[in-house]
Amino acid sequence: MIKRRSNVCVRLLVGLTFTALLSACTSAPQSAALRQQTPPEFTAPVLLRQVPFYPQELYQCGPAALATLLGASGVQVTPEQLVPLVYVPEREGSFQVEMVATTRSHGRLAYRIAPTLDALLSEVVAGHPVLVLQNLALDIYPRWHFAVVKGFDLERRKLILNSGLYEDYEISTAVFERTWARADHWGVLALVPGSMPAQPEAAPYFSALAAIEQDIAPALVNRAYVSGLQAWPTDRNLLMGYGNRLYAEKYAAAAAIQFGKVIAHYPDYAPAHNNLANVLFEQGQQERALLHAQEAVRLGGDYLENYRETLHMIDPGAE
Amino acid sequence: MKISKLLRKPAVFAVVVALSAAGIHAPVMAGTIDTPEIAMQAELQMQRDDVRSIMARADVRDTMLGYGVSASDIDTRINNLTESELLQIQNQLAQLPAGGSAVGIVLGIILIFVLLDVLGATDVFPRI
Repeated sequence: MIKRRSNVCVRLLVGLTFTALLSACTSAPQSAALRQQTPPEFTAPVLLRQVPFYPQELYQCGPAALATLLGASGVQVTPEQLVPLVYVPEREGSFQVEMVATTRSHGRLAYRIAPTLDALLSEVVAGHPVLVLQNLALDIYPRWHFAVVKGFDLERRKLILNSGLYEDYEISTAVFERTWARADHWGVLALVPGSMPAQPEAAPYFSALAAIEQDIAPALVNRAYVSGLQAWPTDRNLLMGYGNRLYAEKYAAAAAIQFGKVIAHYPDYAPAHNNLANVLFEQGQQERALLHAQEAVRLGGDYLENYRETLHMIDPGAE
Repeated sequence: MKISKLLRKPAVFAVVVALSAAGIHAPVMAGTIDTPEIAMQAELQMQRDDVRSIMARADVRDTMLGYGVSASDIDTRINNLTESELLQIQNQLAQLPAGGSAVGIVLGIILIFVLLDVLGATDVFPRI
């Protein structure tokens, strides 16, 4: 019986090793590409010296890495202060979603970068350290770990991280890529509201901004919208979100102009017609309000019931 | 137990009778769906959405408490999450990665990871 069990163990181990050997020999395509042709902006080594270092306590790489990220963005906070917000005792670790939520609750946009080494390195060049999740072991035997990428030296094929117990930990780009790929290439920046990522993309920017709206001062939210709209002047969600901000802050005239912009770019977007109808109605512009309310109902969609309410408010006799 | 025997139980019999009576009196719906009906559906949908997020909130809260998060921190932590985050992680927490560290690996597996670290597949022991 014991013999049979140990046989099974041996087979398992051999299989595991074999699988891992295969994956070791393959699967670092991005670092291979970077090695073959290093883009000019990545040829010089970079090390962000303003990034603080907090050696992690047992299992607590989450609080340590988050304090590191926030510290670099100008928020002084210790890992001990973050433990009650991100550490999950029975799981001996931290969830990504709470790392992101706690970044927000400290006044920073949690921006998820594109899943590429190129995006990661671009952010480091721009002075943004990147919080990353790695699976240091294997898919079948995961060991999840948070660290902060703060530099690189591609000539020596190294990335530089503050990770666990080590400051300026050097890891080969290929090994990093493999451990990062196993964690779905998850990387997050802590952005001061109003500042932009080095490689900005509208969708993750809007989702980071929408999520933090309730947590920070209105002036900061507005600043972040203005920056976003400078980068993507016709992004529907940003245009619309900014209109809603203006409306919430009682700048009715400005909000009406903003919703008008949304409609100019996206005439079939019913929520913009509905919101514009509300603003115009408040401003006493009954006729224009009615037109937009009717248009929203005609276009229909997910919020049809809201559009109908708007229409009834403006014209109680409307069907 | 046979159905005929079941029916002899007073409670079951009563339920069956009540159900068939309800069937007889149910109005026959045909033709158009009027506006009040649509409005009711829409309002029910909105209520369901509310219920869903309340359930998500409760579910995530219970799971986190079960994971040893202290009762004094739980409200802050739940409130830090957006509605859509709560809905995304509801019933998922058990499967989600929790970034901790590599310590606590079973002894028998250590050797394999030493080897894999040397090969550059893994990075369980950072100083290798």
